[in-house]
Amino acid sequence: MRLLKQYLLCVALMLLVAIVGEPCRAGEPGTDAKAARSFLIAHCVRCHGKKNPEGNVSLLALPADPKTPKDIEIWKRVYEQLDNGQMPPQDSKQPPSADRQLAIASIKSNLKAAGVKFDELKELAPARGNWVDHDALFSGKAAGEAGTPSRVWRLSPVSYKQFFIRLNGQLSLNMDHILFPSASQETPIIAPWNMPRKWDFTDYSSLYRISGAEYEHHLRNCTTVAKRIGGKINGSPSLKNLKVALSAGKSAKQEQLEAAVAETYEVLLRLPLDPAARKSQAKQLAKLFESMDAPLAVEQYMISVLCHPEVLYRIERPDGDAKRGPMPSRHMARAIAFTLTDREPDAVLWEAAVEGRLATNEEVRKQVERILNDPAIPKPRLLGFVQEYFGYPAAVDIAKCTATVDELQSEAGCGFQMGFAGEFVADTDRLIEWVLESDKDVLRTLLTTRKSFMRGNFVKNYHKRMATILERKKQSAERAAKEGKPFDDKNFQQDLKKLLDGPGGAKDAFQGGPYSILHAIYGIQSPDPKRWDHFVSNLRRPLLIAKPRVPVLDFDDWLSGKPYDAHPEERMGILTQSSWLVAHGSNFDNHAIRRGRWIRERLLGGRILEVPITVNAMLPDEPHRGLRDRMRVTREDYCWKCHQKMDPLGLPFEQFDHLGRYRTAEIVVDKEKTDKDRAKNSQSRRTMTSIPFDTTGAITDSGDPKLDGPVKGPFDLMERLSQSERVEQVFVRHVFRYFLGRNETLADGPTLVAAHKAYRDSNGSMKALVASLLTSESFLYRTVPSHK
Amino acid sequence: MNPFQEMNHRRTFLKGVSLGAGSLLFEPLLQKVAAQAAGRPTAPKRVIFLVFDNGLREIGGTLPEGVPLASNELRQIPLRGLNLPFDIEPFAPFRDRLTILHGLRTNNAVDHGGYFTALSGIAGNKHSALGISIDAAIAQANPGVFPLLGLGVAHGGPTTAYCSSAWGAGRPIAMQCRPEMAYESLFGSVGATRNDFATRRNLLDFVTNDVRRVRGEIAGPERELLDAHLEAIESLSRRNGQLSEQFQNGTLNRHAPRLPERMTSVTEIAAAQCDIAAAALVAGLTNVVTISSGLGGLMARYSGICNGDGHGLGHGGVDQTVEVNLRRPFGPLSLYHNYLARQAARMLTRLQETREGSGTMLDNTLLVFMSDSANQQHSWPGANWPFVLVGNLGGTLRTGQFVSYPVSAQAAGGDGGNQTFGTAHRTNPVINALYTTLLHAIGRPCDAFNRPASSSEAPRIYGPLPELLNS
Repeated sequence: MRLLKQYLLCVALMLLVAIVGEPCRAGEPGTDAKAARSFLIAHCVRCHGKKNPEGNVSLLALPADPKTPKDIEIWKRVYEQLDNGQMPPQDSKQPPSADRQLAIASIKSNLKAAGVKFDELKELAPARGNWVDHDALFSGKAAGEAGTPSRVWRLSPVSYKQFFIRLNGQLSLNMDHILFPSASQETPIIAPWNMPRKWDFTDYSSLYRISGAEYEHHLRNCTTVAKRIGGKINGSPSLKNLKVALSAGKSAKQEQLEAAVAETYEVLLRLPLDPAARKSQAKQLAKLFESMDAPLAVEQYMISVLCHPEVLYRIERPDGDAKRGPMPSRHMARAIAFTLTDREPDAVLWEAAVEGRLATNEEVRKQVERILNDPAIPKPRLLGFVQEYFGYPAAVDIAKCTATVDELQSEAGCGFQMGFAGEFVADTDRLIEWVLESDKDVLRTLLTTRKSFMRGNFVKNYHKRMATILERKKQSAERAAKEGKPFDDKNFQQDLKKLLDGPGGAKDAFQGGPYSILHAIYGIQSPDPKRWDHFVSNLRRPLLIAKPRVPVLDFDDWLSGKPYDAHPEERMGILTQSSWLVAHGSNFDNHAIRRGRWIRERLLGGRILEVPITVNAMLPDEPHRGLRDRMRVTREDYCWKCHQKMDPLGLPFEQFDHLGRYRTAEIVVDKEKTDKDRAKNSQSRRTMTSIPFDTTGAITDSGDPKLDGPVKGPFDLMERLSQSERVEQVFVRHVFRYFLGRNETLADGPTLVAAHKAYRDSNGSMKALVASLLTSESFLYRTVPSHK
Repeated sequence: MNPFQEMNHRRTFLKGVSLGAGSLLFEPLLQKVAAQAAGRPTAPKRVIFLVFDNGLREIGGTLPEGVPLASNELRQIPLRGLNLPFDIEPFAPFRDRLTILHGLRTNNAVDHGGYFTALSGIAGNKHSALGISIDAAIAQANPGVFPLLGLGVAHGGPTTAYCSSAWGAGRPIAMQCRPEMAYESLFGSVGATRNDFATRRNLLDFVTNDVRRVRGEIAGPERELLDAHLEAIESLSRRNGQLSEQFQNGTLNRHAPRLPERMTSVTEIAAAQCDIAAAALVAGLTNVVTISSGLGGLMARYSGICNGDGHGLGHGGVDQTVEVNLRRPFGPLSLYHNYLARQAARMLTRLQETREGSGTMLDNTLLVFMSDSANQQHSWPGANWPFVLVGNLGGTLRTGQFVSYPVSAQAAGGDGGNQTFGTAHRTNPVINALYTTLLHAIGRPCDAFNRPASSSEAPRIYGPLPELLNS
């Protein structure tokens, strides 16, 4: 905390320094420097003047054009404070957004002139999404022409691999064993990179570079595939020109070489080569023929084709020489397909692109809606969005110690992270799929539904396995009929029985073994009527938790894949699902701050600064006190400035424990008893006791005065948030970011307004919202910045 | 001021590498020339970081027998005559070159792996590189064909992982987790008679054209992504050129290790990676190696040691498949540490057997044996962070001693019963101080490594450790 005070003092110092700098000097970026000074004088002087300045520090000698490392460091911090909105303080009159932006640009310009390097890509990161003024975005006023700056976007691991899967099918490369390895000894083809889970969206176009190690890995994949293709050239009609060139080797004529390279590009990359590129590629192939044996030359050439940036990136720029306009149709098809399906375009979309049927918004909409409405086309990106938006899959990363779990009187033990957290995530996934299937009032349902799933993933797989068995049975019956033999379905009856009654079968999954613990965490009574009494009698300690209240689920309903009704006082929406609660908890405790931050950023569109790295952000180690009590340190003045934005939004979730269970009391250490026991035996376990807890909180400074005010608990909070138009708009902003892979700008305002309207007009359809975004100029148009 | 703040800009570094005679490469060369002119023998300083998960305990792990864990005083105790604990027993033959270091700390807790924090000393989001790591800083100062050879060890893990090392903020360095791929990068295909490196270099030079063309079509900050792409290709091309020469003159073939048929268990992978690292060092392909076992987080299983899950074992779980005397809390982890120490000792022996100047390669090498999460899986703020150092880097480091800054003993309850761990005193140096010391030892002195600009702690908290440096 001492460090935090010093940090804040330093900030105050910086601002003071900033406003009393020297007048502009000749050679400075004139107007920029003036903008910074005007801003600081107008908005900072009152507190940071010469007399009794905030922080009791007066520095008069800071030049407007910093030269020394110290001055530069101070200006950098002033820049940060203005840029992140921490200054002027919230209780002061706030400057107009445009003035702030001018000042920020001015300081940045001066710092750049002083040699400071800015990470421009960092400014495009998802964490900066909420930096854009919400009211300005939804004002209905256009601020410039919409369009995404021309860019490259590294493919996702799935998309990357799909390219090779396509080649495998197209050229019959027999690579299944290395594309879908189980126990293959051969090196598998896998993407050179993965997507680490993050607090923000994981996949923005600006986020990922390709490193040397990754490129080397890609080269290895290309070499494997090129060797396979090399072995198929002779029998592949689609590579007939390459075969001719291969046979001719060094003697290949120019037209043969050009035909071969054009064909290779078309087959492998689906890219036409212009005449100049044909010549250049043909020259390279000829050079290879000169320097090595023909088969090796062809292999090397194919590796070079497979190293084309199209295999690694989405390449998006305006068609032709336009400074702003739609992407070329092939790139547009790739953009649509990768955005919705994480795969290369399907045949219908590709054909539309090749035939020029993506030229109008209506044509694009037709393809987008076809994909969205076809249940046979997998659309992992829809679920992917909701997963990343809510962040609940991180539950599997939060390990719980056995001792901690045991102290909370759960039987989950060490299997918590290994098994149960995965079940939580799968059940929330299933709930989201269910919400997306109905596609009505999606956000409100996600925030307030009383429905839940218990082992929903098992049920889903059960039906898949059942379908496989029935299909096999059907085929066998048809075969028997064809051969005129009687059909004996004994084996199939056995399979069905095993699926239902066998070990690991449906009945086991519903009530057997460890999954009865899952019932308890979800607040569902166990199918075994004696289980609760058995648990209580085995506890050998005073019972500190409440008996589950949801009646035993109906087995048939459960197995049919229907969600169950959670207890109305216990669960309401994704934020009360065990997965979300665990993901937004810590290894040992609830995490009201993280939960509050999620609501502030994802539902209210607010901004939270990262904890300065010098601050040791720790709550007092007082396990005998409740979390709210221990969080008293965040209510001290220097912490509250940020924590007021989070804590009152997160504390209502004290209704649950950090295992994701509804609770009626908070379990803490009984200090007196524990100290007494340990005086006798230092290795004795801690004794726990229960204390009352408080779930009140508040919505403050939301930007919507109707929304602000105290809340009684998590359900009151969710109900109010779910009815807010502003929350809906913030949701739309996040959908935009995920599907466009970048943050919105003021020029995207009309796109967002239209998307929000589409969502409202369709009674909250996610499909309508996504279709609106994907047919907007923000998505379809690319621009070339003037400083190219 | 942190002198590496200027150094750690990726492009600056890569440009240095790509130019060959660029400033960063040129400087060590000049130093070498100057040293030769002054009649001093020169040899590159080599550092191997062997980093593993789940903590390195003091009692039974790093504390010499008979030496108490707690003391309010700074202690420097000669190791001669002391028995090393089981975990690091394999380093006994190197006792005179050994330093066991206790009492360093960080300000933050480390749960389930320290990731980038461990080698950078920067607290914060452990999954993101927030600054340069010490191995990268040493590699920048002392680059080889492979500036930093990063090798990973995991049970069924990814092919590559970003987990511990970085050229700077947001610039993580990949760890190659498959020995056969690492081998191929360094030495070429097993048994190859054709110079694949030359072929690969020509190919890389050609494919840059496509990337350059696309780069010309992209404007704005994202063009930097393609700059990085080009730099990656150019760097690979340059490396393949150097390897091509070494292939031609037989160096690679002479030093390439023989990989085992089977490399699936954690122990097999760890052994293979250590062999590869030793061979790369002896061949002069690199001067800095980082082997990350557990990839910064938790090992799923220590296959080859036992069947227990890594998380449970880090909580003191007992495994019944190990030998009887190790069926105790943390017994399997001790066994794994001992195994890693044996592999590390093999590496050191190989270097000791290789002549260099008037001595051996080991004379200019240092092994840093450490966990990425201090002394246990959930190490608290200020937990004692033990290090085992083997080597004196050309005599710049004082060795043969147990050095401990003031440490308190603290019982920590858990699955394995009460265990005693050390807590460093608040006034002790942080782990960055060791890294600053290493920079001094390799001839790149600086005041402090990755000291936060706003830190109010005394300079000595981050400064070089006088107890370790020979004056």
